[in-house]
Amino acid sequence: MKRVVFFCAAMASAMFSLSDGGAARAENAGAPSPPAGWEAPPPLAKAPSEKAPKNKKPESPACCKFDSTCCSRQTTVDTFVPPRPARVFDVRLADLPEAVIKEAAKDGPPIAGAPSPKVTDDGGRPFPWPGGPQGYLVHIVPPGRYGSIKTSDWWANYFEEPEYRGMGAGEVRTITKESAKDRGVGLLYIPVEFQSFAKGEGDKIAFDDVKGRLEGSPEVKATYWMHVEAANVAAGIVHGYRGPYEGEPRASFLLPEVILGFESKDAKTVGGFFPSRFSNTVSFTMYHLPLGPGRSGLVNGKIDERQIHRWFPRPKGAEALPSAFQIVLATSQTSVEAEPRVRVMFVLR
Amino acid sequence: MNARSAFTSTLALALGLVSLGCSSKEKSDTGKSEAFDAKSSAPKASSSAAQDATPPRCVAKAGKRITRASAGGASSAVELVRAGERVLALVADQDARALHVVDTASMRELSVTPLEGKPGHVLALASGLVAIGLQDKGRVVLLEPTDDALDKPFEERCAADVAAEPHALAESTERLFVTSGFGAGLSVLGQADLAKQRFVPLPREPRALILTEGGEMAFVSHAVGGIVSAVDLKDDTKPPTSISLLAGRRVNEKFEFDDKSPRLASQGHALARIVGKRNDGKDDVVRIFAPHTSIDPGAPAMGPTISYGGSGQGPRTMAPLVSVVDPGALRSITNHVAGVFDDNLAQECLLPRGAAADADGLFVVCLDIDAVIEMDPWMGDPSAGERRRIALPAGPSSISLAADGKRLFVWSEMDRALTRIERADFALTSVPLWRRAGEAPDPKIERGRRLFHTTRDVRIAMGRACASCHPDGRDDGLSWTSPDGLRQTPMLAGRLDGAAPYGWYGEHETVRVHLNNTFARLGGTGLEKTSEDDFEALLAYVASLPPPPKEKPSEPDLVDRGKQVYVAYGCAGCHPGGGTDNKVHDVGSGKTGERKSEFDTPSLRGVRGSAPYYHDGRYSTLDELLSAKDQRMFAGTLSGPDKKALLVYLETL
Repeated sequence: MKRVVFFCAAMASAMFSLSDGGAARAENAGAPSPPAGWEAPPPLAKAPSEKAPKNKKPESPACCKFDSTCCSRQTTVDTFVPPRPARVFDVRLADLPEAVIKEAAKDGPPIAGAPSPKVTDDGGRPFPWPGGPQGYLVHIVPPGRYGSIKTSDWWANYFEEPEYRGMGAGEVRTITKESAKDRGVGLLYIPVEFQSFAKGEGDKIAFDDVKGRLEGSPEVKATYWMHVEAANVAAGIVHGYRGPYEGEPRASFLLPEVILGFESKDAKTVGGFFPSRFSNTVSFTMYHLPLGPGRSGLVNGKIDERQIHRWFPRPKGAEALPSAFQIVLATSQTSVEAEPRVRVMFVLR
Repeated sequence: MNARSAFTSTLALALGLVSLGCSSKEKSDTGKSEAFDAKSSAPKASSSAAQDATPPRCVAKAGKRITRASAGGASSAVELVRAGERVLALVADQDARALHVVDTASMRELSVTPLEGKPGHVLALASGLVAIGLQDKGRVVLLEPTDDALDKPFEERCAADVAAEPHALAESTERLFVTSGFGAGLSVLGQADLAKQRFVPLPREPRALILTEGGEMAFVSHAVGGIVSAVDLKDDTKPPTSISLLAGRRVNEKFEFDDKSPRLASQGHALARIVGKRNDGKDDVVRIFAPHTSIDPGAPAMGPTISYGGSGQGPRTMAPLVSVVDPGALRSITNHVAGVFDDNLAQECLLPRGAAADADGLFVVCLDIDAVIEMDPWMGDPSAGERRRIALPAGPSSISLAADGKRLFVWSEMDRALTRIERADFALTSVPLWRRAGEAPDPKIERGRRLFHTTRDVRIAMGRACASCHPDGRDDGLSWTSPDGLRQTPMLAGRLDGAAPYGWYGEHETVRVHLNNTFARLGGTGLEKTSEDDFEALLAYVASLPPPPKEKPSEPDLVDRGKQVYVAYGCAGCHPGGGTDNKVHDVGSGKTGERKSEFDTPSLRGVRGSAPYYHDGRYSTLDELLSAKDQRMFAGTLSGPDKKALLVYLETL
């Protein structure tokens, strides 16, 4: 399924700011003498990457005696810790299952077999409601454990677990006086789109993307349905599949909510959280990276253990991960390469 | 130039120039092919090759004592060769003008060969000879080891003049390829006699060179300009292809993407490659890596900025970038630079100077942070896939990967040390190499050299080095937004002495004052407050920068005539001897809104290699400048022959 190509085993302790790998100066005893007209230079002031002596307080930058701004900035530079990869996953194209897309013909019958949203009233009773829906609201949610749904202009997030429901409870419709008369059927004449994530076979995630209409019942009259069992490609945190997105071939990845970072121009993102966008918490993140000769794409984002905890359980025996790290996803292919390279990296920054 | 004197001089010289124009020889369109000595230069009298009169001259007399032991890829100042059972490192040492031989097992220096000039790269040829370009001599020499142990100096077998500043080397089917930095081109020589076969003019400052496996294509990086040139070696009639390196999206002052003024690439000193199975089944180059720096020189439309370039918002002005060049489609597949969003105070690789790669890793040598960074080669921008950072002696500038992939060797030019890196465990061994007796480097200049090339000193700048805009002390070929408007980066090397005042408005009486102003504009806290010694050291280094090497004039008659035009049109009034009159002038170049209309007269030394021109870089070539209708440097219009002659003369300055 996947190949781990690089792994710093003792993740926390072996992470280095600057690898030293046992630096040494060459032994010069018995070395040839310089010929006439040449001289041996003085030895190096210090061997490369010599570690600072233990228990020695780091020296302040020299400019600290004169300039507080310089001191502050120079200290930041001097103590900078470079990014260190904790895990790197080489994902083969064959590792990524292909999404199956069905589209109904214009004015043709709806797609058979498409999943439908779950519809309940405030009492948690599913449709149908012989006496009409109870309470104030009818809840229309994706069928899976996480997702988002839209019946009007706005997407609504959804978490199945009650403890996270406050962060996303799906779509609602207000029960009216007419609802008692028509047993709530009138509330269910609406367009609907949803993305749903459910546990799939083994450590896969079943992903459904559905567009259609409800016409008096929760059963969707689907005009578009994409389904895939996304494969676990990185420690149960990242699942991937192949499929078109916005008309282009893509490597798509499903993740828990992440704090979005960099996105290359050709990469597309759905979900995620980016504070400066004033978005609310979401239940998932999807990245769609370009595939094909001459294409490349890259995204990164930050994730922490709270977000991982809210997601599908990781496979049994999965190795421990840092409490917070950066995720990097990248695709690239030159025109002479037979297939694209897909990378997933967990990076400590 | 004084317009009135120019007008009278023009009249006086008009007749004389007509006759000169009729007698001058025709020159090639490019003028570059004439950069060669028509005959390969004869070996020096002192060399043993002088006794060998029968062609081919360039052969190993004693047979093949060495074979190349570096992995394929770009040449470097470090070359690995196998001699018997041993693997030896050959190190081209610019400062000591020497070729060192180091045993890679014991890391002991075995011998040193003095050279008559400053070497660029070194390449072991299939013939058993070693090729070296002497940058300050404009010459390529082929040397031969004189003993099996390589513990004696090499001997020169033959040499040939090439375009100025030979840098990188490559060979294929008995041909030798040489890039020339200031000579701006790729020379193709026959290995048997170093006879010129072809000269391909290229854009400014070619540096690293890589060939495809069959030698059908050459790829050349450029220190400035943000391109990689692809040269078809099968078809002499095809012009080189310029592959633009996409350096990411600019973010404007409103924190929106500004795709009309994209970021630009610079600092293309290195190339590396991976050879693998292509989709046509052949084993050949599948990826070429071009380490660069992504820069935001600012959008001219936004007017003055508080610093040089940038938008004052978000992304850093300079960020590390490794572009992946598609060797089939001849384009960069990299369209993103994640590093632009890193902090300015992060230690990033902004002065990449060397690179080596195989399928397991890409190694980029970073002059500014004294480190080599291992990256994941299978990403669109490998710099986003940093795996490991290895600290090295100061000034790492060249790297060589052993053919078996197990060891890397890095030359650190400031500490003058060769470092061996064991790839299995990243154990390091460093050895300083011999230097010429009595030629210990000036510690003040050496200190200044380090300050000039560091991006880690916040007194100088926030996240950039002097060398970021002045690679090799020259210029980056860019115009930057600044508090004064758009400003072209001036060349420093060889142009500072006696060139006061400084700055485009000529407002600074000394380099020191000008540097203080520059530090402030770059967000630096300044050197004056903290270390007078460091300030003096930086000034000493800047003053010591040698001017670019001069090209040997190919058409002396035309040069003479150009010199007369130079005088006749009054150029010498403001640029005496190609220098400066130390004054400011209004030559009509100021634009509406600029706070002054008079600009400092720049020195013209090395002017042919310092495009673009005018204070705001509005003219991309000298020809364009001399043909401009809005220029007021001289009266009237240059005739075609006069302009041609003047251009040829300017190229000699």
